[in-house]
Amino acid sequence: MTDIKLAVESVGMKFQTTEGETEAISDVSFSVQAGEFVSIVGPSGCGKSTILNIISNLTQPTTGEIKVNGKVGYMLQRDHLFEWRTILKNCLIGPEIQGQDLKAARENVKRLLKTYGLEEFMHHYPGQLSGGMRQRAALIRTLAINPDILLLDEAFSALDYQTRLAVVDEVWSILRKENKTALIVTHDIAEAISISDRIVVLSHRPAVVKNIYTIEFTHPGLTPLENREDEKFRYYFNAIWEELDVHVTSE
Amino acid sequence: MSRVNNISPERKAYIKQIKQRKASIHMVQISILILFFVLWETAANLRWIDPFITSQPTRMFKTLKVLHSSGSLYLHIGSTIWETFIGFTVGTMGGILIAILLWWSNFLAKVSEPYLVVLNALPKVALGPIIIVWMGNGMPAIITMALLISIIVTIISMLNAFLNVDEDKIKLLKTLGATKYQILRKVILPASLPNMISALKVNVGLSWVGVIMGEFLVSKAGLGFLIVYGSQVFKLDIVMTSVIILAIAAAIMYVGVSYFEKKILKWQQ
Ligand SMILES: Nc1ncnc2c1ncn2[C@@H]1O[C@H](COP(=O)(O)OP(=O)(O)OP(=O)(O)O)[C@@H](O)[C@H]1O
Ligand SMILES: [Mg+2]
Repeated sequence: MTDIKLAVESVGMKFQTTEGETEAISDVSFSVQAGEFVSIVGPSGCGKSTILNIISNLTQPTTGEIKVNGKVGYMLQRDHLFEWRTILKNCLIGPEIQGQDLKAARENVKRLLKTYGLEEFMHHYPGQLSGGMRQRAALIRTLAINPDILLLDEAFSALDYQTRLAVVDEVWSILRKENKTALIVTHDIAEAISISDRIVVLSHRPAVVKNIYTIEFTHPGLTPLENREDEKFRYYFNAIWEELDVHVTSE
Repeated sequence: MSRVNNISPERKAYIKQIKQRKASIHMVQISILILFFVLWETAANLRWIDPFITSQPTRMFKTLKVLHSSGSLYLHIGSTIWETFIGFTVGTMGGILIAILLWWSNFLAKVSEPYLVVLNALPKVALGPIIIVWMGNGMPAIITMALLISIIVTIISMLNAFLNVDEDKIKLLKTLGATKYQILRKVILPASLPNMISALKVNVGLSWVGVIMGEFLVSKAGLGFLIVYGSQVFKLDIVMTSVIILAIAAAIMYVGVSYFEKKILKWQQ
């Protein structure tokens, strides 16, 4: 019936260090359908990044398992463009590492750069680009390996608020247009509501799933920025805010 | 990248001012040099100073001519430069290779840490006599000394640079499924390039120190030998001439490295 791209099944994670044991994740399960945008929100340090690391195979979970149906691309918090490579070369790092056909990859990347307004900066070094442009380049670098599922970890938090709103809109429409599935970690409840089909709310560490919201606006099919004007936006915001149970004094 | 057309008058004035300032800095630098030599010459001629122990430019020039016509000048310069070059190259390359090895194996790095610290603190000159006993009275001993002086610092500073490469850059490659070798090639080495260049710069100086030290101790040829020999027979002309040649050679090598730096780090500006 539906096409599940990613399933997280009873995942638990305990970190061992010389100082002791940290149970980051207790028991987390959820799944993401093809073409769906799912956000994860939760208190700081509850294990959100750890979940993404487990999905992308950087960390082995202590318990539980991950089922991935397709190729995963990971977009980190800062753009991490390599200063010593031009934008084009930066975007080609993925195909290079994975030993893909570089000629085809270059054509593909050039097409993406052109479509998303970076064509004339192709041979520039990252230092010569603005923050928003760099983030777009980082997205194209992630897309260059043709992933089906994108993991975004606070991918916009290094940007100032104005740029951030614009970049979120941009990235959202790029991912929609390229038919991607996305799992997005963010601190920003409003951002999560504006871009997601569903939102997974995690508890304090060790994390369990507290609730999963399905976001249905009164006017579906609009952009994230327009969604912020929807009547139901505030309702979702308050509900998730309550759920997160943020104690300003204790955190 | 620069906007060539549409230069405003303000911009023109600014560029002109910068150029003038640069020119006047060069002028003063050259004048100081000339003045220094003229003063030296005059002071010696008027016997304000004793040219027997201070030498003087004209006498140095004569010495240079004698050394030139006897052909020994080039033997000395050649062997010093050769020793420095080999010491520098092997010390730098070897240091970088060992640093790569230690980066590769964290276990090895931890094991070698105390040894590196002690070797780094130890004045390498103290090893001079041992090296001479082991390697004999010649070029290999000198090169070894030059190499020892630069290799330990290179290992320590390069390993430090490797370990300080942004974790997230490495993570980025790991998410793409990179092997350890790919991480080395694509991030660690290029990210450490600026540190590598500054290691080169430091090593140029250190290799000269090592070679001249070595030549003081053992050699039969080279600028260091000339300096020691000159002072022993009390011919300060030879000593001073050698020092000046040394200064010029060191400066040329430094300029070479700086040029290399500019070529390589074009993404840095
Ligand atoms: N490699 C590790 N070794 C030991 N402990 C770790 C490691 N990685 C994460 N942790 C711990 O696991 C917990 C969850 O970390 P994680 O980075 O996943 O949280 P997060 O939800 O992404 O936090 P934030 O919102 O601040 O980004 C934290 O308490 C952290 O200290
Ligand atoms: Mg995190």
